[in-house]
Amino acid sequence: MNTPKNTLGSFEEFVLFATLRLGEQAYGAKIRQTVDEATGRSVSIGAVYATLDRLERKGFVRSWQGEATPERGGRAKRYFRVEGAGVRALNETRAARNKLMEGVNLGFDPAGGVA
Amino acid sequence: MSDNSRDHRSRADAPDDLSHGEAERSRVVLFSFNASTRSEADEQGPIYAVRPGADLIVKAHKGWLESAVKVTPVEFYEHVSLLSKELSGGPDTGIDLMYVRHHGISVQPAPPRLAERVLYLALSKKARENLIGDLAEEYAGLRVRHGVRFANLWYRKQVCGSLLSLVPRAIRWGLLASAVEWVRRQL
Repeated sequence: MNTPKNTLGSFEEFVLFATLRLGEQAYGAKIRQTVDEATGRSVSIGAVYATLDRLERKGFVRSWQGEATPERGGRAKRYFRVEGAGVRALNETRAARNKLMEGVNLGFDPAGGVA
Repeated sequence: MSDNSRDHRSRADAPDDLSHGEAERSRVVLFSFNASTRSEADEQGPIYAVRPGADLIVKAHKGWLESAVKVTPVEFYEHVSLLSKELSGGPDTGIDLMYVRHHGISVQPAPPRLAERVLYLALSKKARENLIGDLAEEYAGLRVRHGVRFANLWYRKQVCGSLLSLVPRAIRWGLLASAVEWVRRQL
């Protein structure tokens, strides 16, 4: 059986979604905070960068250097943007998940209610 | 940096009233010459005022302004030149002076130095600037909101977590295999 080539790991998904949500303000610290708040678990900045680097190597995101600010000790920000391939990977992952969930009764409505 | 008991002072009744200077040990209250309210001061950006005639408060309290009062521009600039020399990021100040703007100075609270140094050494040159900068940005905000102890703990946790993520997987598995082998030999 063929499987989609570009399915993502769960943390990769979180990071990509956070990057999409943040839009033009998607840089390391903000992405970390967004994932942290959404998942309710402590996320290290190193894990975020390791994931973003991996996603960039796959062509799912693109990065560029931003401005340095005094609040950052004069260090520049690195901004990220999700590329088309990244959006496709998110869609393929969601499609794969939906396919696996077909016919599986989890006892709740995936839309948020109770089955 | 010492985070001993805080010297809390009562706030002015009107939150936007800048006529009373106040500061807490782990926070700095910011004033602006041209602003009459806090919201105006925030829009103009951070500056610091030092009590005229006082010994350099930074020096006396290891890096934190103990109190701040509104001063005239002349008095402020007299102290800025002294303050900029003292806040040069020495080991005891706990503050890195970032730059002096024409109407004030911006001060960056320093995160735990050992943790920062470990992370600096572990990262590639390319990664250092961005990652350490991100941590510094979050650390500064946490320090103001939650205090130095919380911020320092958060920073150290971030460094430990980041090191685990950044160490190459092959090395991680190699270390784990070595540990397992060692335990097996002890049994």
